[in-house]
Amino acid sequence: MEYILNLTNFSGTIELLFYSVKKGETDIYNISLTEIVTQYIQYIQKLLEIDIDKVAEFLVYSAALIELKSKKLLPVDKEEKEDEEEISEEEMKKLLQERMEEYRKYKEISERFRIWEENMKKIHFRGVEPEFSIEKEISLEDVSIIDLFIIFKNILERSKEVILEIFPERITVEDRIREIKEIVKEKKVINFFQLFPEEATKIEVIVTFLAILELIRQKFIKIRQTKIFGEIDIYLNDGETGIQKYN
Amino acid sequence: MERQEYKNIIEALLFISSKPVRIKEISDVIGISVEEVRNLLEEMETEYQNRGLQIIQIAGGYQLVTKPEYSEYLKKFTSSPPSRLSKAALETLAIIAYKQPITRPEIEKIRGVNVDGVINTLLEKKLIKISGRKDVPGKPFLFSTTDEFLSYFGINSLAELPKFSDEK
Repeated sequence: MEYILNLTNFSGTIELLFYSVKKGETDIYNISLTEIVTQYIQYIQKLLEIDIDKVAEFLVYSAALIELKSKKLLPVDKEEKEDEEEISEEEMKKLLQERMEEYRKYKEISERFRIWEENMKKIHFRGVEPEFSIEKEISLEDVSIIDLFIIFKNILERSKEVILEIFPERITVEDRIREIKEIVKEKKVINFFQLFPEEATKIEVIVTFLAILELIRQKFIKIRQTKIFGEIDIYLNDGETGIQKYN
Repeated sequence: MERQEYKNIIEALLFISSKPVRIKEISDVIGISVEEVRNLLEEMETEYQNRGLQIIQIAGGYQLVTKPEYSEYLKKFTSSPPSRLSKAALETLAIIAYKQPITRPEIEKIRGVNVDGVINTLLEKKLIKISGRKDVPGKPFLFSTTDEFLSYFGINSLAELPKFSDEK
């Protein structure tokens, strides 16, 4: 169901209004945008079932109208105009029209797709037995936005009592830098992967990696890999120091 | 072997397959020519007139499926109500189908809005796939439609997509 606007100077759908303004049949100066929005809001407030697609479409058109009107109202910046001279207003209009035209084509095709989809829903295929049918799709067709709102509100209320605990970071990059420094100082050479024990958590892996990067940056360690995908060795950099004080 | 026996084998092959079977596959399995398989399939298509099933050409192959006139009974039997694609998903799919391979920014230019979420849904449903990267700055992914896309809409190949009504 399309909402019909009833304005002082125009009556029809917002889509019609938009194209009429685009084509220059209706002067946007004579159209009160406030009137449009006020009417539409009154209309929406009375609705129980809201068709999101329709509402979104209305929003897009009203935004486009606002843009058109604001552009007309604003004085044109001289410099800006000079910059834009490559694309004249006529060309711009043409460009916009072409884009609209193209979108329209796909919109039409998508309506054909919808019919095909509908036809195919009547044909049943040999089903592949799912081993686990946990991810069942939920159809929201018969659920209104109001229903969803109520459900969401209930969930929010129910979860009010849950107390969340935030655990402090157990290992910091600074700690890990200190540790790696100790290891490298002692062993002179260490295999890269030895710094990542199998039982390390994701955070530990990330922290270790950051620590290694930082130590390379500080020129405390050097890294060497002799072939692609080969072993990576970490050395103590005993050449020039350039080490920043970190700990 | 008799013609009827070949048909029986083809019927059995189509029966066990949950996706379209290509003529080449049937010809390889039975060991007869592609033309012969095509002839047999054509005969079978008419022979199914008085059955609850039909043989359709879809996504470049043949598949044994139910006839649409019995769907209301079958719907009572199957549990999950069929889901439908959103308007945004259908529009995006239409753009990809005609302009493939296409990048996300190119789609957004036509639709005028962000299509991240829609693209993810379509990928999840396997109606589109990532078919490469475009050689422009940022190397964005290119998207193309899949065989599942053809199956979903019941068409045999992309050539069956309708022409634009106002082709200039």
